[in-house]
Amino acid sequence: MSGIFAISKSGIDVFDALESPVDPNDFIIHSGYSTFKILVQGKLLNQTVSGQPTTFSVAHNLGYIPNFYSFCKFPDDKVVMNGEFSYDFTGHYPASNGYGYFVAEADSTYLYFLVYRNDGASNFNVNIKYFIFEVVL
Amino acid sequence: MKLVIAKPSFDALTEVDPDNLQFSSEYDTLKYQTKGTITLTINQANYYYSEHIDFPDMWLYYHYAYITVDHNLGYIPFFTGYTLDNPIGYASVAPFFEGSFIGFILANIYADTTKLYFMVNFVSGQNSGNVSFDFSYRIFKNELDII
Repeated sequence: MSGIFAISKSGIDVFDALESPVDPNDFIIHSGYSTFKILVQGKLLNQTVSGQPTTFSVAHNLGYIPNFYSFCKFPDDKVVMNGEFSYDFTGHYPASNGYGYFVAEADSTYLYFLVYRNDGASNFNVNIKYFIFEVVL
Repeated sequence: MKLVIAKPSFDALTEVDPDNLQFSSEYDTLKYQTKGTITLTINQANYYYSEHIDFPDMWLYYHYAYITVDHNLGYIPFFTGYTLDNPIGYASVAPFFEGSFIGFILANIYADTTKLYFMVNFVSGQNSGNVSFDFSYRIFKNELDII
């Protein structure tokens, strides 16, 4: 059976929006387009960064490298994305300011979260949030 | 009770692989909050550090600045962003980093419970004049819940 299930955004008439050409941005959901499903989400709280780097891991056991996204909160209460320095980073040789640097990696079994501690920084705690999305296409 | 919409040729009543479903109420999704663009303009006279190098014979000036956007959600949301005019000339998913033997440019986006912060940290041979960086961002309602 074929048909369309659609909910348009506020202020947009769903029947008008379904007229060609269809703009998927007009819809909250449209059965012709796959939604970006979150398969798993989780967090690691109060993880102590004591090494250079310190690596935290989570088993996902999917058997393939997943589509993932992650965030890390440093003690300055600012959240960074994968590949970012902490908020207060300024860098110039021979010294850099800031807590450190956050990197997320994955293989077919684990997610790995590497937090690099800036030279001279004392141990500190971070909170990490991760999302694993469906494999697109 | 659940709502399932299967992809063409799959049976919504029996299919359980999320990759074969257009939608399933059993899975969370990202919910849009807002999007926007913002320009960070840096006055290169306001450098925070300088140093002279012998080869090439020049002074290097280190610049750092940020600009914010209020989201006022009261929690830290899922966010993402792009640099629109990085030195390579293309849009790029943030964070952006490029380095050479005399310097670097770093563009990061941060969040807390009230704002997004757009930061640029770079080295140039200039200590005057303005440089602008354009960002775009997407904020989702999904709470990170890592306060």
